Amino acid sequence: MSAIAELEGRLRAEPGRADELLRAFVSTHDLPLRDGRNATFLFWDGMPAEQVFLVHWIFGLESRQPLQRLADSKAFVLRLDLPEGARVEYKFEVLRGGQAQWLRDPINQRQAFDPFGSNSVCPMPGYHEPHWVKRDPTARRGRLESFVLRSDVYGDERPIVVYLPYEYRPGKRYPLLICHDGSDYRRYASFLAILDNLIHWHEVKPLIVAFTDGVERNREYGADPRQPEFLVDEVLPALQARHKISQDREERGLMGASFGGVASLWTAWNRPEAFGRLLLQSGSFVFTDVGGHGRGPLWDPVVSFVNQYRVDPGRIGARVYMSCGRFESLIAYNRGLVPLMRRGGLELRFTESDDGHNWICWRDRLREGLTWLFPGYLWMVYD
Amino acid sequence: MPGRIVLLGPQHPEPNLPAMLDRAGVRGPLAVVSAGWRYDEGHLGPLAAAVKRPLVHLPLYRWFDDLSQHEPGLAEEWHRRQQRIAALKRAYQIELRGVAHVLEELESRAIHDKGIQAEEIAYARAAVRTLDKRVLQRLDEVRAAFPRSLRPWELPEVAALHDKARAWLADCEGMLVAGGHVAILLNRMVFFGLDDLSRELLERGGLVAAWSGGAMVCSERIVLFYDDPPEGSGDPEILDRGLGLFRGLALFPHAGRRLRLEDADRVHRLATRLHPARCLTLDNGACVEVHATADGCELVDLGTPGSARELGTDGSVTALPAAGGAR
Repeated sequence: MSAIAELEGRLRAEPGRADELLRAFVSTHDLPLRDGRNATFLFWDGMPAEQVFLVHWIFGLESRQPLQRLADSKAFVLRLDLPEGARVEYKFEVLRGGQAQWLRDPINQRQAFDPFGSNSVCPMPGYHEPHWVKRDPTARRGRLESFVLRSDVYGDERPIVVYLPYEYRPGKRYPLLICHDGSDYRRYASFLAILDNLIHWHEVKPLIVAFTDGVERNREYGADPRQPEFLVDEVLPALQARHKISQDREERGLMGASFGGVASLWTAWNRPEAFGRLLLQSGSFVFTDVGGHGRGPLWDPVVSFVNQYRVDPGRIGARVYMSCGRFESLIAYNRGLVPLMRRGGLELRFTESDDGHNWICWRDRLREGLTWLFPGYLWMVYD
Repeated sequence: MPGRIVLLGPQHPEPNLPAMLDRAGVRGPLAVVSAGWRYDEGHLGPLAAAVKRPLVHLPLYRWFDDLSQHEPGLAEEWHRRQQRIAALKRAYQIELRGVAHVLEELESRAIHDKGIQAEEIAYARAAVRTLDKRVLQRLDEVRAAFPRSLRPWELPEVAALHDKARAWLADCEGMLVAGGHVAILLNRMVFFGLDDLSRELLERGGLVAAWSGGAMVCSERIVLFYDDPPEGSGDPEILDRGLGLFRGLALFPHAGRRLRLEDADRVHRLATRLHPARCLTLDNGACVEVHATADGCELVDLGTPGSARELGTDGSVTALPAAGGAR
């Protein structure tokens, strides 16, 4: 008998002890319950509710699914079939007095953060947080510098934050990676600890990373003609004026997630001479074969670009790392680009993960991406 | 040899080279080989500050670069030789992937499938060992095909630098060999005849203290290893013969991070593959004095307890006994 069935039986047998039984249950079980491919979500916060829904971001499943009340108690349950190794972010939508409220799971303390707040996390059996996302206390730390760039292209001033590897010396030439949504990558994807670790372990060669952020982010990143100009004609020269940056485009890269992926590919497409390495995570590479895209006007330039890109994918002539979660609607578009990119002669590595459109999914792929694009001498160096 | 050979672990985060030199009563000057740092080989500031003894840098990396520019013929021949070696290594890696996978699969299946006989596993293990042995023979054959590069320090264009290194070493109480890129370090040391010069130093009672990749290069056979690489299976590879300043010892610096020491099957496979060489890990704090014996070497552990460990063919990982209990 499953733990939930057993709990339900006891709740029916002793309805007067429901709160006590539930309290005991949640304090002795790791929730959501996970067994093989089954995940059982249980909502209980001791207060009555009319109805509870599970809200998640798994493309392919109903994104708002009702939980069933458990034996007339204040608890609700829902069982989902999820792949082994999957990682799901979720919230509960709780209806009380006709008002709906989104809550994190009050019992499950696992959380993931993003610019909108935080979600509860359900890691399925087989998912393990990668060891390399935790700072190695012996790893030598790089340092951050920042400067404000006066942009004629955008007509404003923009802060640029620059990561310099621990061994940085002004006279030495370094590879460069420009990162879109740089603040979020640092804050939500442990990017600095990962850079320090991978460089210290010689998995990635020492490189400079420039973190940029958009102002009107979705517009600027959505195949805006100003973005390639901004990066190539303003950011790159400003970095070159401060540091010795590799002259070799194969040691210069762009990266980004979602619309940041579009901005990266779009820039490489427009200025292929400048960048030869791309790290594209859950790129919003929506395209159409016929008809409209149905996603609103913000996407018009994106879809137009991706349609154009599909005609000549080799034009960027880059080594590319691309990843996407299987729980995203974007997976089909990313998959759709893979054979085209390969036929276009690009050195492409593509990874799918059982995760969604979120920062942990992007964090968990950074080692693969960075080591593919900027491999260090890990087999040879023992310092 | 009357001199002393001391092997150390990585010098980060806590360097133990200065304490070792203090304990050994070494005053210097000390020669430094840091070609493994490549273009950074001249950045001796932190080392000099830690060691607090006069240092004499042997800038082998720079010397080689300078020679490459001024002696294009020699450089070109050396380059062709290295290309042949690289091609040979690519083939070795492909072959190794196959035979190592067979051995691993047989060993893991044998746990449940009693029909897999020990003879089959022994055969697969022998295939890996044969491949390791063969790659060294083939490397010798490739080198023999480039006679001018066999003993480059005897060529007129290199001899002056070799003589300079010998003269500088003659004034030193010992030589420090820093870690770094082991292939480049080995390559540059062999090119300038530092293997023979190291022996000369030891013969006259000098000290060779080598850490991390530097220790690997001083050994008889260099094994590259990384159990959890971002790509590939992580099967250890033979790089080349080392300087051979001592025998019967394979070295694994940074083993705590680079090897899955908790995986007894993997440890067993590695130690069995390299047997009869002893497999010694060198983590931060390790300090091991090596004494040559008729059939190998004797080890005296002078470092932090547990920082130098021996990998057993039974999959065990055992800290070296403290000084006095050496084999």
